[in-house]
Amino acid sequence: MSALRAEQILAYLAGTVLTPTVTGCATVNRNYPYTLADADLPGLYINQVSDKPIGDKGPDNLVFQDWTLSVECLIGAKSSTLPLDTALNVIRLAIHKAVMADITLGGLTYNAYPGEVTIEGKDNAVGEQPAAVMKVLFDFDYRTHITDPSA
Amino acid sequence: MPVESTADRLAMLSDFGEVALINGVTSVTGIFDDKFLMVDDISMNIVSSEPQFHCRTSDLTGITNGMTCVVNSTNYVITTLEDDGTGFTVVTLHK
Repeated sequence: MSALRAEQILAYLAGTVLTPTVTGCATVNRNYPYTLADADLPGLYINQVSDKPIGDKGPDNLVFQDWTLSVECLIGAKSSTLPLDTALNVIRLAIHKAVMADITLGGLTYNAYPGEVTIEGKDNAVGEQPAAVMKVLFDFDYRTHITDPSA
Repeated sequence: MPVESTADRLAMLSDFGEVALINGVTSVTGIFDDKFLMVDDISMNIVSSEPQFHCRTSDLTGITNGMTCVVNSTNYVITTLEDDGTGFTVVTLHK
């Protein structure tokens, strides 16, 4: 049985679009439950935020359902040589270019929208090197069969 | 009020400490500590540590934030000088 389309999109992002080679991150994971050590940094998490049906009162037709999947890309890094926002923006640029180069994600979606970008901890001076996380949001519109959200 | 003399402090630091080279010219004897730190006030848990050098305040005349500090062959930068008021100062370091 195929996975939910939202799962397919998240897996495609983590496994095909936002690879370590493309993003410059040492590790790329989904919902990674472990801590990130120096060898894992910069690290990228790809997480689902929400998945909303498009339309106020259910589907516009009885065949398809359109959805908007919101995804957050969390970039974690430590640096004392570059300003942290500068270090994180380098990766943000790579992520943005990779996602927007194919807004269909290989046919899984029909549109992609860059969202808000925020930084946590950039003024955090604790530890051997300052650490910070940048959150980069994207929305993806996609369509599934009304009876099967995997197809 | 501290009860020990600066000589007492130096004796203790000499027994248990090591020498740091600050700003390339000043050798200071102190105790180096680098305990584990988890940075967890952000959306990821990132492993770090807290390198600190404990030494006599009297040995740090003219030493300021931003100067280099070499301990155990590792290069650090001084980020905070925390005088505890008893004759010792905690020097917080960044790699």
